[in-house]
This record gives sequence, structure tokens and C-alpha cells, in this order.
Amino acid sequence: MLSIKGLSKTFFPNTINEVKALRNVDLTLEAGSFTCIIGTNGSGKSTLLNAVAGTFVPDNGVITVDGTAIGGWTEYQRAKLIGRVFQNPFAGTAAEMSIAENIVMAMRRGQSRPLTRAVTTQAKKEIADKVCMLKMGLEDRLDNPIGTLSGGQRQALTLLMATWLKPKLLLLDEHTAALDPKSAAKVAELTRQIIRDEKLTALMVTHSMQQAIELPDRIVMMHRGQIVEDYQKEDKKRIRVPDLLDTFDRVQKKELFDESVMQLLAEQYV
Amino acid sequence: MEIHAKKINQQLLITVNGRLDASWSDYFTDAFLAFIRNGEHQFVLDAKALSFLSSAGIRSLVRITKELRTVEGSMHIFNATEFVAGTLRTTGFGDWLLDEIPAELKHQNLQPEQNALPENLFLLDKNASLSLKTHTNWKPWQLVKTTDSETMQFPADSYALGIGSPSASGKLFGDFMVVGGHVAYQSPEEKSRPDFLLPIEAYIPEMEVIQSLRTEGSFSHLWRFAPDADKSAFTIAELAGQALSLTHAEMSAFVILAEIDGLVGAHLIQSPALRQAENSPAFPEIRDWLSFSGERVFVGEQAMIFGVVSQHNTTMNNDLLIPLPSMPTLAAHLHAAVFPYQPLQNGELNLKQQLDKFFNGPPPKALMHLIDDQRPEAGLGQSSLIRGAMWCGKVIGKENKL
Ligand SMILES: Nc1ncnc2c1ncn2[C@@H]1O[C@H](COP(=O)(O)OP(=O)(O)O)[C@@H](O)[C@H]1O
Ligand SMILES: [Mg+2]
Repeated sequence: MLSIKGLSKTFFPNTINEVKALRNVDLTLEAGSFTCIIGTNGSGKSTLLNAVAGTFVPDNGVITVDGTAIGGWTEYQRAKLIGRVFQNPFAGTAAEMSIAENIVMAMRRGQSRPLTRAVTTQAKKEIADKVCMLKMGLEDRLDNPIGTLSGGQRQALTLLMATWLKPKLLLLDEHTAALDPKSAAKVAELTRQIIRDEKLTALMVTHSMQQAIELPDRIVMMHRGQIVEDYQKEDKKRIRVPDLLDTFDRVQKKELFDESVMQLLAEQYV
Repeated sequence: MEIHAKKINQQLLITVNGRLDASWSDYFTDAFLAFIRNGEHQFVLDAKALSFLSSAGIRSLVRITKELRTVEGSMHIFNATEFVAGTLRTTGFGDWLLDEIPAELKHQNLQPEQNALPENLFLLDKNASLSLKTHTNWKPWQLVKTTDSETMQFPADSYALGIGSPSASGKLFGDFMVVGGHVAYQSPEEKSRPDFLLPIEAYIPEMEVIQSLRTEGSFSHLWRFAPDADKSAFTIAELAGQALSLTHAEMSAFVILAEIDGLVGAHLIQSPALRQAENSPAFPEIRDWLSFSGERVFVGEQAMIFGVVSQHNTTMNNDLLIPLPSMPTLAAHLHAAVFPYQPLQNGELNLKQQLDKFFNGPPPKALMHLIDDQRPEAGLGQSSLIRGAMWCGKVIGKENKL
């Protein structure tokens, strides 16, 4: 489905602030697969998602969706294929617009004719049916401004909106990180349900080891702009949270193994 | 050199037999410092059988008296030969000399007693010793040849460390250690935890070994160490030095069970049998072969260590004994297994019982070759231990190179 080959991005090249945010990343996602990305802060997780969404132009690399290279597409063009949810519950919606109006905007995503917030009666019925599945009672509040909802409710709606048109690819960037634990668990469960029911291909960044173990069928670990671990199939089934912590540990250890350590071991590891 | 100690009233009478020169001065110093650590402050040294004193010997005495000054202790020497007395006088240390036997000792039996030991030291069997076999066919990073490995069985009196593979695992060579016939082995994979081979009923654990220091025999001493007001932890160099001085040996083997203050070490994460190239892996490829702890690890857990230590100048030395950067007069090699913490009883401990307890409990978390990391800036220092037990014994005889 999604294929990323040799993707690199350096911010502020050749300055003291140079950051190699992505270093020659290869990643292929099968259609209908659900992959979580974990990794320390600044390891390049968001940058990888942004590169796929077209937020910036990478220095190197090829991204294809179903065999079509999308490198030349704008972010707006890619939005027809890609649904996104960010960490900030206020990012994906317009606070002063009603729930229904926000959803209508999402339903028309990628359409070229001018946007209108008019909500037809038929659309309203369709919306009420879908919102019902969130089991948050929001179907009765469709005309309320979205700004009056809690973070968890907004994130659930954002998720619903992002997947309304069955995107080829769903990108989730720590979309439960800003929520209280109870809401986070609820949104995580909803995420699992929607991805499964709609058979979506999803790439989700999470800070939660527990989510990484429970939700997806594959876990990719990033460190310093590279993919350093990839747990799939049987490996993925077997691992638990302590194994992931051990893996973090090993990655960090490798980081500390520099040339002075090599010299030390040349003298003492005989 | 032989050193004997005997407590007479408030004084510790030390009897020295042999030469105090460059090759014995560290041993002599360590022995004295161990006495001081054990709370002895007033020393009289019977030098009747001290045949030679060199400048290294004088330095050792200066070091000891300096240590003694900090605890308001003292040291005097009597019965010195003309030569020794002359050396002390010409070097300006004549005031250490007593003209005659101190009054308190006059009517005492000055013959050394072998068993007057401090309460944290246990003499298990004064005749105990271990024999050494060294197997150095493979060295990093040669290609592993079939002729490099030897099948070794480890019966109950064997204590060893090295690189090998359980016979059933083919050529998965990784770091291992053997204590009392129990084998702990770190398979050479980044993700795996150490394994055991236990002597159950008639089974004798067996390994394909490409490199090892292997000893057989038993330990003469048990030393229980614990922190006090001045000392919060014991470094590997201190413990290894103590093993040498307790056993009065040029080479000693020891097993330590102790609470960890911090370990620094490395272990193989890929079997050297998989190497295709004859040369050493360069950076960063080396990181795919060896893992380094990177920080002081396993604080508060329990270490089981096997080590061999020698004086740097002994003819018994071999390639697997590496001078400790923080104490270059000692050459050593130590492997450590890390177990979840469990407290040790005080007093005399039985090694066999302890081994049974540890190997039948929760499995070890790690196994590593300890590294003395004295890199100028980033150095993590030596591994060190808080409290525990050390069994040690003299290693005797010419080694057999296989
Ligand atoms: N637009 C940007 N401009 C400059 N630096 C950036 C930009 N986006 C990300 N970075 C830097 O790239 C690195 C990776 O960031 P990011 O992908 O956000 O990490 P993660 O999501 O894994 O926490 C960080 O060092 C970050 O500061
Ligand atoms: Mg991020």
C-alpha cells in the first residue's frame, strides 16, 4: 500500500542547528495493516508522518501509494488519500462551528467546489447514525459548537471525520497523548474499532507502550531518524511491555558505544 | 613472602618472612591495608626473617604509615637484620626501628598463630588450592576454526570463565562462567537473557569452549565485606587484591556474591563463529558484535562473580589476564552474572548452599565480562560492590596450555 524508500530529511543543514530528522528510512505497509511507531522524543516519528502527508519536501527518497509516486503532490492533493489526527484535540476541528458543520466539511474533503457549511437533512441523518457509534451521546448535540466538547470527545470526532471518506491511509500522531487516561483509553479503543471495521491501513505514533502492544499488528521503533526495530507477525505477538523497555535500553546502549569504547574493549575484551 | 599476624594486647604483631622488594611490595601493602580496614591500628613488625628491603619496600612502608596516621595508628619494627636496619636509617626512616623487643611483647609467645583471624574472615581449609588450565586458541577477532574449540565438562569443583557454546547449541559462542559446576551462559544475541546448565543427578554440564580460564579445586578463605563510615563500596581491584593477600599467592581465583553498587562490562551479541573477515570489526560494525553496558548498571541487584587475579609480574601470567588500568600491578579477568537481589545471611556462608539457592531461584538478568573503564573523560570507573562474600583460593602450578 504505502512504500517509503530511502527517505531523508535534514533540518537547518550545514548550520550548528543541523538535525538529521530522517536518515534513509525504508518502510512498507501492507494494505489493511495497522502499524505503531514508537521512539524517544525527537527520533523523527512526526517528521516521518509529515513527509508522507506532504507537509514538507524531503531531501531524498521516494514515497508511493499503491504504486503511484506522490512526491510531486501537494499536501492538499494528498489529503484525498490520507486522513490525519494530531495530538492536539483543537487542531483538526473548527471550535466555533457545530459538530454537524465540522463533519460536513470533512465529508467534502478534497472536493474542488467551494466549501459550504450547509447541512442537508439527509446529511444530518447520516451524521447522527455514525456519531451514535461513538457512544458519547453526541448525536443529540449535533448543532452545538464543537468548542464546547471535552478533549476526548473532540478527538473521537476528529477520528471519525478523518476516516469518514475511508482514506487509503490513516496517519495518527500521538492522538491520545493530550487526553486524560480514561479518555485516552476510550479513543484508543475507538481507533482500533474503526481501523478494523473499515479495514484501513494505519500508521500511528504513540508514546504509550501499552497501546503499541495492544492495538496494532506491527511495531516500528525509531531512534535518531532511523528505524531501529521492527516487530511484525510472530515477533509482534510475543513481545510485551518489558521487552519494549529492554529494546529502548539496547538502543540507548548502542548510542553510548562510541569509538573510545571500541578502544577500551580492544584492550580489555580479549 | 609470608606475612603472619597475631594480636597481642592492643598490638598486632606482624611476622614477615622473605624479601620486601618491587615484586612483593604491593602484596605487602595490600595485606597491611586490609588489616587497617579491619580495625587494627597499632602494629609491631618482627623483621627477623625479612632478608631484604628495597626502595619499593620503603615506599610501601611509607604508604602504610601514611594510612596509619589518618587513624592515629603506629608501626614499629624490631629484630631487623643489619641490612634492613641500615637501609631504613640511610633512607631517613630510622625512627621506626626499636632497639629491642617492646616491653609488652617481652614475655609473650611471638610465634605466629595461623588462625587468629578477624571476625569477618573465615579460614575454610588452609591447604585448599586450585589448579589452572588456560585455553587461548581463539582471540578476538580471528576466524573460529574447528580446531579452536574443545569440549569441556565442568564437574562440581570447577570454576571457570570464558567464551563457549553449550554443546547442543552448535557454534553459538558467547560469554560464560562456571561456579561449582553450575554454568551460566549468555547466548550471543542482543535480546536473549542468560541460560543455565545445572549439574542435576549424573549430568555434568558440558560446553564447546574456544577460550577459557579454568580452575579446579577449592577455596581457602571466605571474606565477608560490608560498608562502614569511611567506605561505601568495594572496587573490583580492591577485592581482587584482597584475594591475593588473603591467599598469600601470586595468582588467586575467587567467587563473589554481593550487592551491586554498579557494574561496567561487555558481552558478545553475535557468535564469533559467524565472522567472515579475518580482521577486527571496525567502528561502528563492532557494535553488532559486542554490547557495552554504557553506564554503571544493575545497581542494587546481586552479582555472582568469578575471577582470576595475578600479580603483574608473575611467570604464571597469560594472555587472558589483563592488567587493571586502575591498579596495573594486578592482572585479572572477571565475569559477572546478575541475579535479582536477595539478601545474604551474615557470618560464615557455605558456597555450595548459596549456589544452589541462586541457581534454583529466579534466572539471571545478565552476564558480562567486567571492564575497568578509565577512559579520560567518559570513563565509568570500575565495577564495585556494596556488601557480600568472597571465597578465594590460591591458584598453583604451571598452567597447561592446551
Ligand atoms: N519543521 C522543523 N524544523 C526544524 N526542525 C524540526 C522540524 N520538525 C522537526 N524538527 C526536528 O527534527 C527532529 C525530529 O522531530 P520529530 O519528528 O518531531 O520527533 P518525534 O516526533 O519523534 O518526537 C527533532 O530534533 C526536531 O527538533
Ligand atoms: Mg512527535
